[in-house]
Amino acid sequence: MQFLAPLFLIGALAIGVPIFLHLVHRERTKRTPFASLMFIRKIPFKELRRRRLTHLFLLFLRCLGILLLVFAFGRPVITGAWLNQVNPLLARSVVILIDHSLSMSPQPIWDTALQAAEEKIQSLGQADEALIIQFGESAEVLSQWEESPQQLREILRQRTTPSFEATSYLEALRVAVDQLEAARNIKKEIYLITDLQQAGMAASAGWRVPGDISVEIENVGRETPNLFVEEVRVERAVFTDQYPHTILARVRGNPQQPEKGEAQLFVEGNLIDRTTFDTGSEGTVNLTFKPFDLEEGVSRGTIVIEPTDELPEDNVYYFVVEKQAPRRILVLQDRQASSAFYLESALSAGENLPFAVEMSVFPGPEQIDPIDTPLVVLNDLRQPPRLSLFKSYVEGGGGLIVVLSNRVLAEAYHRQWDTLLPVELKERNFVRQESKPFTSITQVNWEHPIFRIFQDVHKAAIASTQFYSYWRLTAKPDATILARFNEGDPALVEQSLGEGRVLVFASSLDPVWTDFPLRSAYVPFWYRMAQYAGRWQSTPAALQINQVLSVDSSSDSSGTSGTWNLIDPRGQRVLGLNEEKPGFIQLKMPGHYEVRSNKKTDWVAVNTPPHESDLSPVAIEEFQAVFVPLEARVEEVGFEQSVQEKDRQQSLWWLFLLVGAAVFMAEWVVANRTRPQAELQRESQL
Amino acid sequence: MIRTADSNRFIDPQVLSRIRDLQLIAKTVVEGFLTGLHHSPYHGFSLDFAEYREYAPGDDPRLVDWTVYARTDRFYVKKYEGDTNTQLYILMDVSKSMAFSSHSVSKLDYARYLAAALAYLAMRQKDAAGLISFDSDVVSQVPPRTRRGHFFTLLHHLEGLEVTGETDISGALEKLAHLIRRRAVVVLISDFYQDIEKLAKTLRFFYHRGNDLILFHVLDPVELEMPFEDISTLEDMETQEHLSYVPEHSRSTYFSLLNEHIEGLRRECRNISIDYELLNTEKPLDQALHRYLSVREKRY
Repeated sequence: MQFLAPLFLIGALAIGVPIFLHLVHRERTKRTPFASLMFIRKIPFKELRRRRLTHLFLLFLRCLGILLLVFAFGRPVITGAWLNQVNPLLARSVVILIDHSLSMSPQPIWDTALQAAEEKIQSLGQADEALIIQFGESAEVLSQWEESPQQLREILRQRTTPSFEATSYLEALRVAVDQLEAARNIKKEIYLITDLQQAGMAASAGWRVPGDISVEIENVGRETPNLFVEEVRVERAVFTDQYPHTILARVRGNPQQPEKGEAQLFVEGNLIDRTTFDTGSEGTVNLTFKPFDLEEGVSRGTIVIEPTDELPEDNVYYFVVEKQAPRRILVLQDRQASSAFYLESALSAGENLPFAVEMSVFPGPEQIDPIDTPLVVLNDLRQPPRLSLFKSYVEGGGGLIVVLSNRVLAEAYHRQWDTLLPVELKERNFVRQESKPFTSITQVNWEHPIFRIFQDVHKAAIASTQFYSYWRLTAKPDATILARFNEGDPALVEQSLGEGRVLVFASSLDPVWTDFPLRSAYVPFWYRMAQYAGRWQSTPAALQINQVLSVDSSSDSSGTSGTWNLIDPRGQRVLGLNEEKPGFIQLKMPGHYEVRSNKKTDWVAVNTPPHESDLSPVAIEEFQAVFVPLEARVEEVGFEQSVQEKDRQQSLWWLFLLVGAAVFMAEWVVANRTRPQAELQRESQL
Repeated sequence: MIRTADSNRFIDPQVLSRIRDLQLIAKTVVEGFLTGLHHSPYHGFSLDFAEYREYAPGDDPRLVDWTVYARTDRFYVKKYEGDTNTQLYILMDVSKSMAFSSHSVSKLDYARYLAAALAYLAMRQKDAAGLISFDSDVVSQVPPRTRRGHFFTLLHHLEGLEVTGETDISGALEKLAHLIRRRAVVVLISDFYQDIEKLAKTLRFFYHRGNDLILFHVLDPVELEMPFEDISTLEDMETQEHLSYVPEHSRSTYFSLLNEHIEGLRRECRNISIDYELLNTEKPLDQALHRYLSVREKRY
């Protein structure tokens, strides 16, 4: 039981008045002269005190009346906690889920959320237990079931902070349900404090909160317009002196409240371009920024939109561009071999080329450095070049693609390159000479980095390619077959060797054995092949909150460890020199992270998740339909509703007042019946 | 209006309290009392000559037998049967406890009526009656006389009595012992809030000096019945000490001690042949007068 006006409880001290009158005042007022006390014996104090309470019932009524009046003025509120103390079977195990995603950060939303959590903790009964979990995209358990309400309050004050994360109700509810499995009470409850953001709804894949767990939702959100940079098209790696493309940015606002503003592009703090915008009735607008010149190395860029609003974090978009030298690809082929024209054209197509293709004639250079030349393509060589050179090259981190075509002598490869090749060459398969005119690749590992870009809508581009001839291969046990022809023969086989990779393609680069060079998938296919085999990974211009930064990829490629620092956007060191080098670091803050390795300084841009900036709420019915079974109880409390509920609960003050008045009436009757009798008796005696 | 003897005998003290005149009270009580005695055992009272006694200062000169003086040249006082042997000393306790009353007649009032009645009775029988009031000391005294106006002196003195200090009967009696030299009837009217052993020692002293003692133990009905039903704080009228009275706890103890006290007094009186009478201030005075006359009779 709680009291909304607890100061009135001080009035309970007034029960001392009737007790005083019964015990003390009575003695003074009723002193009776008597001839002699010769035969009156002193009564022991305890006996006297006990005997003095002759009108205990009267005293009880007076005290009860006063207490009831005091309680009435104290505005009592009967809470679940109080009921729990009355009936231990009602004891609850409560998981307090606090949404600390980016959308919760504006005030007073966050303070309201904390207040709701505090009140929930305060409502806990003696037999209740509670656990605090804060969640955004991921959930973090902050306390244990054993923690006392006081400890929970401290945890709430010290460890809960708004974050820049997105919202994921599915993740939060799953963690809450997992924790409730270890709870001791039968009655289980999830108390979800959130702004009920539509963006937090994700496909639950049929998972729901178990039916024996009730879900109570404290909706602390409110409708507020928010303008934010939804997306920016920018590439990190630039191989020219000027950024080669127009930077595209999309700004989104509320369709019901179109906003006008200005967007500015900054690079290394210098204003490059600015443009005005109007989100219009669609609530979104695309902006373009002119190309700009680049210095050597990494440049930090930001796009800032104005006016700002209650979520200023999403009004800025951070990105990084890096001017790099193109990577050298060495194509080695016989003088009389079929032309690598198509391959050279594919890897040289377009602007901002990451590759520099260099043609070489067998036997090629004496030495090949994997760093200078990350990829070598052997195009239809009759016999393989020196094994030791390429073995050390691959093991040192180089990439090797072997293209098998008409000129290849299987015997020579068996004899010289048996230890390097992941396959055994059997024979040429001339499909056209058989019953059907061509074959095609029908089995593909679409999850592989080479084929991933085709897996959604471009599978047909691979599957429709016609192969007229190919080499029948047998993959070695350690090798991986990435694609097969319709006949089941391997089309593309891969094997790692040391730090490098060897890939074998069973058909030709030119359109003699296949029409692949004439297909649209040819360029992206070989682009991906070159990237994968050469271990060249393109780093995005910007990451999102909670994405992982691979320290290996950001630090020095020489692999030296322990000589780097990670500085967050506030300038504070996150990890550094003397700490064990972790493989991955989760980025928690928007802005530019600085990665200092022993040889160079790199920058990583991090932005808030754009879908988190969409503050559209979800209806409670939809939330229930997705996450909660029909038989489970879902109650949306809402801050305003909570106040109304408390008002309803504390309306029982009038009951206390009524009972108090009845008690005083009873006291009046009893007092009138007892007091006059005693007094009249005494008067008649004297 | 014809009144019956019984109605005259037992006049309620509360009725007497409405009569302002103490003489009238005494007369009313005694006459009523005597009228009711159909067969009086007290016929021996007369004015028959008994003896001559040499005149002593204080004797009424009118009682001097001038015939004897003529013959012997000495002053002799004529003593008669009825008034020559008895002196009545009325010792009245005027300590503060005697002021206690639960009705219209306090213990002091009752004692006053009783003393007036006894004096009237004594004077009517030609006995000499004196009055001594005391608390812890002798407060006042009127020597016993038989002359006609002495009764009024007594009454005047009785009317002027007021309660004074604390009770110390033994101490007071020891101090006034020298005032009662002759064998006399000593009537002691008190509430006797006194230690029995100490009191008995003093009474024995008086008894052995040849006095006839009558103890009138005057108590208020509240003292006898203790009818308080409620918790209260009682304040001693003499010492102002106060104690809590809880009926359930105190009443039985009170009765036990009071009865023990009364029985102790009665026992000590019986042992030394002293008459003792417990008087309730609500009851008529005839019982006390009976007691006095029985003692008076024993002397003759």
